[in-house]
Amino acid sequence: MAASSELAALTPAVIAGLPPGPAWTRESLMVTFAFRCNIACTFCMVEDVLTVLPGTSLEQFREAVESQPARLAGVKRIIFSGGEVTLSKQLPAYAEYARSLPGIEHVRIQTNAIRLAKRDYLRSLIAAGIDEYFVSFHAPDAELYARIAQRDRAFAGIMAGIENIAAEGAGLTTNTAIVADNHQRLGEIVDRIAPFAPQSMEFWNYWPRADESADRQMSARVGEVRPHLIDAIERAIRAGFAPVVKWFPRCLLGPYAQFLDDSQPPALIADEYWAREPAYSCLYEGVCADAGSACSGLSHPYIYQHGWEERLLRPRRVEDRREGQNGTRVETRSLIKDGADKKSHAAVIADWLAQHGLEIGSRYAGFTLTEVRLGRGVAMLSLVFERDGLGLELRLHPRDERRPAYLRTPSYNLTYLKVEPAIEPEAQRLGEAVARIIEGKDDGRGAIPG
Amino acid sequence: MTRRAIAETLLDELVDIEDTRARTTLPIVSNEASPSKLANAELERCGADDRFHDYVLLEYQPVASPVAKLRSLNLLVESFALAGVEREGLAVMHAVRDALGPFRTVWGIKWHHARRELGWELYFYDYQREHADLSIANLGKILAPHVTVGGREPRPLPWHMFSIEFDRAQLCEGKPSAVDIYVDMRSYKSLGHEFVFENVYTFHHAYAEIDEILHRIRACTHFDPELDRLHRLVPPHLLNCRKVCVANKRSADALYFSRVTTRALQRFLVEQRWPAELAGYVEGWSDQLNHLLWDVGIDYRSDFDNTEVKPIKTGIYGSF
Repeated sequence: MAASSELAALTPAVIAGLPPGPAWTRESLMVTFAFRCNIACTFCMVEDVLTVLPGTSLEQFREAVESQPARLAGVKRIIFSGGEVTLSKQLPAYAEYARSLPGIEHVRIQTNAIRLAKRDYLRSLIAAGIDEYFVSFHAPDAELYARIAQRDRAFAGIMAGIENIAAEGAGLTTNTAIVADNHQRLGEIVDRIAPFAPQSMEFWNYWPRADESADRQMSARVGEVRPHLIDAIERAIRAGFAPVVKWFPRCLLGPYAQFLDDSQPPALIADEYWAREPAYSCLYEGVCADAGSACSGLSHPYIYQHGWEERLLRPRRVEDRREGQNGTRVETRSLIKDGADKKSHAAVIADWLAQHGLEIGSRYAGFTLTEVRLGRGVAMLSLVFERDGLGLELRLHPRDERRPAYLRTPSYNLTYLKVEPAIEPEAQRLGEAVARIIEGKDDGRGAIPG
Repeated sequence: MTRRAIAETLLDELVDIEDTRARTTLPIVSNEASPSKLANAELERCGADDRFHDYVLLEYQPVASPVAKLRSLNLLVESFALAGVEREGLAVMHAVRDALGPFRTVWGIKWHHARRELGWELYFYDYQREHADLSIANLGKILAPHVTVGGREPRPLPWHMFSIEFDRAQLCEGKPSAVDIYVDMRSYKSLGHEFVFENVYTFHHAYAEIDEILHRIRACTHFDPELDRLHRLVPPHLLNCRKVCVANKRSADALYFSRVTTRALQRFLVEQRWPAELAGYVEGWSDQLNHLLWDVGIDYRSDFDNTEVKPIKTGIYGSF
């Protein structure tokens, strides 16, 4: 980033020339454990699993990367997260093991930094190999922090921890959850952190995991957040570091859309965690070029709380695919015409299979591909295989680093439907065989049909 | 006290939870309702040859393995039982299925919000008009022992579907039921010698045709974008569907959402304040219903003295 004096005037040309925030999620593997915490943030995304999920033990971590070395392909960073991982005595052992893995250049913890107020403890973590500290930081002063974290003196501990991280010369990144309580103070949050020269500051619009009906009423309206978020982004740029924004409508970020990155790293975490992952939609996702990997839209709990924001959002419209050659609109409204879709679905599936080197009736890793189905209302292709009465199902989604996947090709995420543990190696072999075939034809421009 | 001293004190209070300490285990409370039912009839379960249709009788692939799980018609039977007409309702269902064969008929359960009453409707599709057994006259004969069909075609019409609606009184007291006849994008109600225009409707892909959907909703007489919250009529769990149908009726407008998940159906039933017994049934049996997709509809209206739209009738659909 350029020095602040050069950025005094954030003209469109200057902004366009700025690099986006660090793309750390794409080269990281997250390992989760220590599902407990010493503060109680009102928006906590793991509140329901604190003291419930056992977390990934060190042995399970070892087993996961040693039995499947492919998990570490391209991974330069191991991230430990929970819960509050500094509450675990085993954290240094996790870090030392992470450091021993091939290709690992950084070990990061996600933390509230309270324990790092003990300088000796921080030094012990640094000695164990933890060189990056991703600190949750949600308010610029003690009063607001106490309200958000529900602990009166949390702010003092966190600031002391951040001071220590900076003093030790370790990497500092902060993460601010944007909620109703703090959304007007984002600029002040930047001013509070900037003196510690962070690598980046991240602003995560409230991610309502386990808040399916918006009972917490935690979200601030995006239209009200927008001026404060833009102000925070500009302050960060002027202070010399690139911000990262997550889960905020891209169309509301104007020239700063390049700082939106909703990706998350793959994680070792119990499956039940994902069962309460929030769904996202945008009313305009069928007509907006940014829908999908470039923009998640709004969470369903947000929509239940505030609505679709249909008059605020501005889709970047894609060309209307239903225009006929002579420019006339192709009508698809009538109930009678409604019946025609089935045949066209079969045709597009057949085309897709041919393009990707797959064929119904052929055998892959001992299984016969018996059926291919389109997802209902979602971009998904389901490949159904069978062998001697044993059925397995592979699913392909558009490639999206944020989503858990067993394997990824340049264009697709590949998962397999949960099976009995005894069958799992076969499902994995089948997935790998199919992924290899697709990969041979996949130039990165592939798309799920339908 | 300096900030660092405060921090040290804080640490004494908040930290040092060690791994060696036995982890507190909270009792696990299950949110799952115990599956129960009001209907006396045996549950019907899917076989390997079952077929699955949405409310326009288009076939879909179940979203999970269906074999030995519940057929959607069990919910219909439960609604008969809740209304106290299980025997009568089952007789209608069996008569139609015995005569036409399985997997050809769409059923609807209606919830009339003001009256807090259930009603039912059966829909018979023949897009290509190739089934000799599907005629209004023939259905009249099939249903005659159970429901009096009081409508007819004034002349042979190019319909692709007709439906017969009945409520508790029509099941128990023989009051004649009207026939709704669907021609292209319109429907007409026939009862006795009356044949009146009833409904015009358009189908749109849920997301790809959102502009048309919004135009149709906003161009209706009941929805006021200045007053009404769009997400109340079009919540995200319903818009995540295959197609949205927008209908204009004589005294209401309506939205229909096709192929929503069982979880979305659960939410719909609770939000639309359906009888707790039916919402509880879907929740309690959700593991046995999660292979199915459902269709739901909302008839809504604004009154002169209360301009905010209100649902007046909601419906859920399946097939047998």
